[in-house]
Amino acid sequence: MMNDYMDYYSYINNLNQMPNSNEMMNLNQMINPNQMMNNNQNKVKKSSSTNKNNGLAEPYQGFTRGNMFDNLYDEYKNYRPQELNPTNDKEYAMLLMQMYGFAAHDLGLYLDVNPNDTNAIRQRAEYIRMYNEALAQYENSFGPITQNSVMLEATPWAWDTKKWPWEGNR
Amino acid sequence: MWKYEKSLQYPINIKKKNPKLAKIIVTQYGGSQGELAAALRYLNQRYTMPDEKGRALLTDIGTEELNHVEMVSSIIYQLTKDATPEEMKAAGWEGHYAEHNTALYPTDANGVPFTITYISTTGDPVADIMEDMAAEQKARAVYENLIDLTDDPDVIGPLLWLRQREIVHFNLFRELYEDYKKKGYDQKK
Repeated sequence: MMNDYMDYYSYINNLNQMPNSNEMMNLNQMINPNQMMNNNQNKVKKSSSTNKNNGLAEPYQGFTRGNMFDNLYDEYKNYRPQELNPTNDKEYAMLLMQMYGFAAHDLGLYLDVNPNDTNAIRQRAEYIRMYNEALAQYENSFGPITQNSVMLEATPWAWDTKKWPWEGNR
Repeated sequence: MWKYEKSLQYPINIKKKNPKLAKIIVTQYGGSQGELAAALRYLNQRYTMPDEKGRALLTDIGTEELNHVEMVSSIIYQLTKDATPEEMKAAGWEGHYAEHNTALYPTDANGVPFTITYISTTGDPVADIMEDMAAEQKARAVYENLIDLTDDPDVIGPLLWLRQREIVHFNLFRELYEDYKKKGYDQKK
């Protein structure tokens, strides 16, 4: 059930030396662009083209499976990760935020124990930029995510006017 | 310090009420291998880590575990939202209803309340990190047991995701463990 991960970190550390391979092509093909709302296709494609690290998932794939690292990914039985299908712009904006936030976070954990990996640092910084962009987009359209939001400069106080994250759709 | 973000780490939208499922999934909130124990374990151990790697990793994974506490809590909340006393009873969860109605309360799947004796801190970084590796493996195993017992895809999705995080964390802890063994941090220097 569990793979052997012994060589995982050496693999990650050697990413710099690895040329682009077919593996990357396969990764790109595994991301289904139809998951994303049509009016945001360009943004998603842009996000895909920025990832040059072989062995790292694209943000959508990494996020849905909960693991940015190909070598580390371990499927349970024949279960596939849940596809996330936003049904409106709000859910889509939230997905982008969660997706880039997760991609940056997972690389951040890796960097805690591998602090000299320049490639991972650059990639993480790029995801943080995308996260910040997605955050601003969400907040401007749908309300504050954090109390730093400029949306909280208006009256009435908007912090408690929206659904809380745990409420779901039911 | 921590600041709140009005967002789950991974989305949870459960369409079907199912208190029977909540009754078992609650163990990943308040059980011995649950997310609350994980968060408290790492956030207590981080202070006595010998270097920046350990302090950073335990802080950041401990923080992520708080996100997971919120995710598991959201699953339980959505599965029991608007559940009637009859529905709670039919699910075999009338004990919970008697004590808490449908409010959140950290217990294991048998109703045993959370206890801090689920975690330990030793002041020995190698021993602590070894505990953390075991904790991630045990939490993974419990997620697999729960997935086996679940037939709602809205619930299986988040459970699979949380299981995957245990695998990522386990490997990070193992990397740190091997580094600390090499540096002799278990030798009381």
